[in-house]
Parts: sequence; C-alpha cells; structure tokens
Amino acid sequence: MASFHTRSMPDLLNTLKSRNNNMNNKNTRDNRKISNGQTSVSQIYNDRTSSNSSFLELYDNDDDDFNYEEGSDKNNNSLNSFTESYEIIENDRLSKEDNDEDDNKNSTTTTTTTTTTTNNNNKSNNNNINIPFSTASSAAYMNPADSLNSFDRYGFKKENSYVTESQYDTWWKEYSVYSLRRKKKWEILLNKSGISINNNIPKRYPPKSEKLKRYIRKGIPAEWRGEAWWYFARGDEKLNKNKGLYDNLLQKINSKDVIIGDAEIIERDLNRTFPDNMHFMKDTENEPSMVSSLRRVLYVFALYQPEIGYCQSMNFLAGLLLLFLDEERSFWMLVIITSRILPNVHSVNLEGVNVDQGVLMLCVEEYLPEFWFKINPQAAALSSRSKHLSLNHHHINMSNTPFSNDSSLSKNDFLFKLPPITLCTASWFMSCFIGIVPIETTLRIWDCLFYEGSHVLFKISLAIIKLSESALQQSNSSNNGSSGSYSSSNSSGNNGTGAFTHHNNNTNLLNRHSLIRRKSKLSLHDSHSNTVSNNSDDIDMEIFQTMQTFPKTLLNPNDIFEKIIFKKKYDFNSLNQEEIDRCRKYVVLQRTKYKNYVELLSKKKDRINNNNEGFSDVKEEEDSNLFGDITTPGGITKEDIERALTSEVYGFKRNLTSVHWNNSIKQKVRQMRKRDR
Amino acid sequence: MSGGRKKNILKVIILGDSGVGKTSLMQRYVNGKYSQQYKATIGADFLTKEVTLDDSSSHVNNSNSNNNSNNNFNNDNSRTQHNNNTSNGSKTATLQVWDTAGQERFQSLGVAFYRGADCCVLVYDVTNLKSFENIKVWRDEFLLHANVSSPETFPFVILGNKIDVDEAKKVVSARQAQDLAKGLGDIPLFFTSAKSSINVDIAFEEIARSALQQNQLEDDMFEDDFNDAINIQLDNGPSSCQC
Repeated sequence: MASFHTRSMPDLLNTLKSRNNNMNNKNTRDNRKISNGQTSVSQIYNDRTSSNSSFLELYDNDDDDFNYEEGSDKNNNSLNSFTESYEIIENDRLSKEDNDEDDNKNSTTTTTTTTTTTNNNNKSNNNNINIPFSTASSAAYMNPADSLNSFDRYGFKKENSYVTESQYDTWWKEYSVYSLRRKKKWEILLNKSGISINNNIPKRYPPKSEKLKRYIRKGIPAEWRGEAWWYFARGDEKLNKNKGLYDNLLQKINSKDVIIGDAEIIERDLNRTFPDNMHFMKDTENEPSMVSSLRRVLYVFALYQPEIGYCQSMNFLAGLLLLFLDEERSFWMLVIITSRILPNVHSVNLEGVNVDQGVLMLCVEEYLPEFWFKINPQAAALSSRSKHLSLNHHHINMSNTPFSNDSSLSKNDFLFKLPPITLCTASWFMSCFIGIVPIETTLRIWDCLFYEGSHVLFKISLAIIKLSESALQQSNSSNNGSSGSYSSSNSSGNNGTGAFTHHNNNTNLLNRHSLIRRKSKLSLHDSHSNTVSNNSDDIDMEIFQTMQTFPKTLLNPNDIFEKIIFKKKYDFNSLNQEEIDRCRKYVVLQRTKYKNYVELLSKKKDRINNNNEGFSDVKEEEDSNLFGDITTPGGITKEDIERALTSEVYGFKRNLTSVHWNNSIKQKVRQMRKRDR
Repeated sequence: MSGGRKKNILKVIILGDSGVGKTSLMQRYVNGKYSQQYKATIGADFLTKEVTLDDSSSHVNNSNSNNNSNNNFNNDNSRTQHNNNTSNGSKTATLQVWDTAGQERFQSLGVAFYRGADCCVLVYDVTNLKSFENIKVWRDEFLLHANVSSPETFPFVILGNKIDVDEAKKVVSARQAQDLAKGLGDIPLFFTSAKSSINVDIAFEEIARSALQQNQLEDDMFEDDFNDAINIQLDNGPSSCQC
C-alpha cells in the first residue's frame, strides 16, 4: 500500500481509508513526483486528488532537470535544499559511476553536504530528506509544523525500547542520502539495460547477474519494493495460474459457507500486529482498513492452505506485505513465502522450523565454531579442533543441555535435540526477521530474500551471530570478567576474526549496545558481580539474552551487509541456495531416521511393558528420558540402533571463489575495463 | 535435575493460551510497565529480575495458597531489589522468566526449554473459557516434557488474568477456578490484572518462593543426578542394556 509517509496521522488515516483501491496508481504517481523535476510543487500537491491517467500525461516528457522553483513559497525552501544536495550527490556519483564499491567514502562526502545545505532550514531538515520515499503527499511532509517526526516513512514509530528517536534521526540523516544515491544508481542500471522506467516504478529487471545481486544487496529503492519483490518472487506466474481465486475464496468466507478453524487466533492477533505502526493502530471506533485487509488475507490463506491454516508470525509476514502490495498480491506472496521459500515452516507441526534450525546449527558448527562451542560446550571438549581454541573457560558442565558428558555422543544429536538458542533463532526464520531487526534492515533482507532465496536467511543469521560476538565480548568485559565465559578470543586464529577490530562504526555499535543493555536494565552484571559462576545456565542465559536483544539494535542495514555479507573473508558468504537445499535434505533425512528410531523404541517398549499406552504416539521431539526407561529393559540390539541412526556427517562444499586472490583479480579486470573506455 | 549446584537462577516458565496476557504479566512484573502494544510472541522471550528471598522461609512450605502472601520475600515494583533487612539467611536469586508463544503448534519448539524449570505459571483469561479449560492441558504438556523429578510436588501457580474487566465480561467464576486449582493438587491461584497491576507482585512472590524451594529440593537430590534422565543419551542405550 505504498505507505512511506511522513504525513500527519489523521491526514494519513483519512487518506488511507479512501484510497484503498487505487494504491498502485498512487504508487506510480508518487514515484514520478520524486524523481521528476519538471513538476511544480503545487502540481504535486493538487495531484493528490487528480485522477491517475491525467497525471501520467503530465510527466511524459521528463528530463533530469531538478526544477522546483514554481513551488509554493511554503515548500520552496526545503525543496531547494533538497535539490541542491541531490545535485551534489549526482555530481559525486557521476564521477564515480560504476564504482559502487566505495559507498562509504561517497556517503561521507554527501552527508557533509546535506548537513550544510539544510542547516538553514531548521526543523524541515528531516522532512526534506524524506522526499525520495514519501509517496502520498508532498504538502504534508513539507510542513515544518508537522508532528509526524516520530514515525518513519513506513509508518512505524521510530522510537522503541532499543532505539531512541534521536538515534534514529541521526542515522536516518545519513542513510537517506545513501538511499537516494542508490536509487540514482538503480535508474542508471535499468536505463543501461534498456528498461525504460520513465520515473515509473519498474515492472521488470535485467536478468540475474552478480551486479544485480550486488545492487539488490545494497537495497531496492523503498517505493519500488512491492513491485520488485513481486517480480523476483515470480508472483505473476502464481497469480495468472489462479486468476480470481482470491476473490472467490473471499466470497466463500463472506457468505459464511466455510468455517475457519484458526479464526479465533487470527482475530486475537490482528490487534497485535504492528501495534507501533500508524496504519495498524486502532483509530477510535473504526478498524483501520489495513487491519481489515490483514484479516481477509489471513482468512483466505487459512482456507486456501488448510495444512497450514494460521500460524503466528504469518500476521507479521502478511502485515508487512500489505504495506507494499495490494491485498491479492500480498496473499500470493504469503503463499510463495510459506510454500516455496520456507516450506513446512508454518505447518501445524512446525517441522520446517526444526529442519531449518538444524541446518542453521550445522552452519554455525561449520562456520562459527567459537560460537558453536559456546552454545554447546561439550562439543568443544569433544572436537578435535578444540585444542586450537582457547576454551579453558569451558569447564565441562553437568548441565541441563541435552548434550551430556558422554563421549559416545552422536555427532548429530543436535539435529534432533536442538540447542535452546534455536528457540530464539526460530523466530528469525518464521517471521523473516520482521520485528527481529529494525524495519529498514528487515526490508533489505527481504530484498535479498526474494532475489536470492531462503539461503539469505541463514547467511544473515550467521552474520548477526558473528556481529553479536562483540556484544557478548562487551558484556563480558562489563562483567569484570567474572564468569569468563564470553571471551570470543579474536586471537584464536580462526577464520574471520579481525571483524571487530577495524571498524570505527563498530565501536559505535558496541557502545550503543551496552547503552541499551544498561537502559533495559537486564540485570545480568548484577548477578555476575556477586557470584563467580561457571554455571552453564548463566552462559545459556546470557547468550540467549544477547541473541534476543542485540539484533534489535541493528538499525543500519549496512552494519550487516557492508561489514559482513560483502566481506569475502567470511566463509559463510559462500553459502548458496544449492548448499542450503542439500543441507535441508540431509537434516530431514536425519530427523526421519531419528523418528523411526524413536518409533522402534516405543514399539519395543510396548512389547515389553504394555502399561504405557500413553507413549504410543511419541513424537520426534520426545524427551530423552523415555529412552532411558526403555533401553534398560533390553530387547533392542545394537544393529537396530545402527540401522536407525547410521549417518554420514554433513560436509560443506568449500567454495574457491571465497578466496582472496579472486577478489584482486576482479579489481584488476575492472581497472582494465576502465582503461579501455 | 538441572544439576546446578549453588544455582542462583530460578527458571520460571509461563504457559497459557494465546492472548491471555503472558507477555503483559511478565512485563508488568519485571519492568513495572503495561502497554496495549505487545506483539504476538513468536518462539520464546525471557527477562530476568533479581529477587531477594529469605532462605529459611523457603524451607517452610508453600502450602499456603491463594492471596495470602507472607512477607519474608522482599519485592516491589521498583527495579532495585536489594533490601536492607536481609538477614544472614537471605539469598539473592535471579528470576528467569520465560514467556512463550501461546499457539498450540509452538509446543513442538518450546519443549526443550521446559527442562530445568523451577516453577511453571499457568495463565488463563477470565473472559475466555477455553483458555481456562486448557489450564490442565498446559500442565500436562509441561509435565510431559519438563522431565521433572517428581511431578506430584512440582510447583505450579495458576493466574486468572484480566480481572480488571467488567464483571459482565467474565466467564470464568472464582469458584470454578478454585475448584480447578484444588483438583490439580492445591495449586496456588491468583486473580491478576497486568493492566491495572493487581496481584501481580504478590503472585510472583509466590512463584519465586516456590521456585526457590523446588530449586533447593533438587540440589538436595544432586547425588542422584546420574539418574537424571536428561543425561541419558540416545546412544547410552546400547551400552547400558544387556549387550
């Protein structure tokens, strides 16, 4: 619903109610406003009520001239300064065209410029920065008296328990310039590829390429997002095969021909979906139209896909989609996410979640061994690699983790008895990071998700864990090293360690994080300062808590992308969809074997002891104590066990492209190309 | 069974149907706040809170049920819990409160962290009969997965939440609730409102106290820890059976 507004809320809510049906048109128009200089501000303003077609004509002969002079006095000022800074960015860009590796340098230059040009404008600063993304009303966001500053361009409250409004504004000032520049680059890319966008929202994109992938990883322009996601997820394919289905299902629901089993839970979650977003906020008596749309999408989905019905977290998926796409397309995107991208993840038994968490744990074991040993100390003791790592702080715990101090521990045990941390990371996958990381970061992940596929979620998870190591370290030092459990030892010589030593920004991140910790008053250090505890509960608790809170501080998507995802030195960046799919298959197989094994045991048990009728439907997640009871009576041969559990350990493909020399070759090629030109 | 000697962390699990107010109760207790704006919980969250308990009292018993709380547990809404009148017998502990997703299907994810719990809080919504009827289901589910050493004595606390609403909206009577609590083994019962901050602190006093008692009970049984089912691995099976 094209809702990147900075208008006042009442204004917005009113418009929202009235424009439900033509949101795409609006989207189109708004985009024209943004990058076409020929229009006067008054024209833009008037256009809020004008019809779509006539408006399109207004813009047919566009050029790149940024001429806002005709605008009304009220709005002129901020627009001019916007234009000015935009032109500077533009010049800057032209000199560095095609060299989009140097975003950081670039952004420092442009930021300074913006600051100086907008200084005279006082309060309208934030507003003019918002121009490129705002869709509906130019007039409203140009008004300095507008009290809208506490909401971001998608309608979310800027402030939450982890980020203050001023932190947000500071970041946004810089990031909005970045976004602007990226959009310009996108336009050039599309033009070069022969895709004429005419300041419209692009409906198609060039064929997949490394370059396109890089562009997407740097962010799709906010107002293009809905269409872009739809395009990359091949939404039209789905929709064309099922024309009219959405409306038919909706009709069925309206006529009360059908009963939606999960209706009650859906209803309960409607008001718990983005309560911090103005489009979902309850407005006195009337239900926001967005909430009504959400209801319809979720009901229709439950009817369409009964084996999923409704699963909590889908409310967030659908809710976010509705901010960018109309109802029907949001529905089909939800279908695509839950079937193609995250199969079985939202199904009744959530088996897909367990599978993906198993895959994630395999990845962690492979790529982030230090963290792996932290969440799984026994593995550290067992691993041959452990001698290379400084693990002296990991006393073997008589812990309550399922991994006991048993040397015959199956190497794949964690695939069936997932470590507690997966309770936290499961939600990362189920909601595709909505609510886990701040919205701008979420959207960037979504850009990649639809272009690259689900393996992005794993990569991002690994990147977040990697980044969180410094937070864990930080909390450790603030603990006075009492428990000593979190020295993530940069010196351990493992891959990708220098990550937290060479970024200035990273210290900001750390400070921010420690600040947040203090702010949220999670009494961790208190508990540590009093008692020196080696209890694994402490470790579990602290890791869990960090994993719960740390991602919420990742306001800037580039904290993940520029610092981790674009760095080839991190081996996990070589993960691709093929690998993840292979890994998923492997985990499914292992879990099936385990399930069979459990069934085998319960059968034996039934034979031996018929009293236990309650255990005949043992699930795979069943407690291990069952086996303790079962195995002792005997009756199971070693062969039975082996047959059930034989497994080859999963091996990751080592990708040569991740090696450094390749990078330098690429640079040389680029230089040669430049010379040729 | 969690095997933590000297463990000063008390693990509390909050269970109950979706929307009964688990997150609100936890937030009210830990942060003293209430907001209409909680999102639906996916997976699980937890918060911690430091509590000071009188060590001796926890050994007494927790048979005192309902709204009668003794005062050896010092707790208030402010976050600084360190109380001056804590004698030698007192003990600080960290209450680790786990908030869970209420939708039934999330059960298959959450079972792993039931283990090691010291107390389980069962929440229903006084305006929602089904959530009340499910209390027993949640309890059984917990016992099935938590692997507690003696299910008969494991401490539960029942909270009937949203007591602030109009009488007309209430569908579960106090009588019904008391009968249920009694039937399930004299489980302490509190009628709470996270919104209006009614009985929340008192309820959590009881929760912390019974958690501490349970925790110490388990410490006493530490020697038996080798029988702890959790430590029995899948692959121990063959080695410990007749072959």
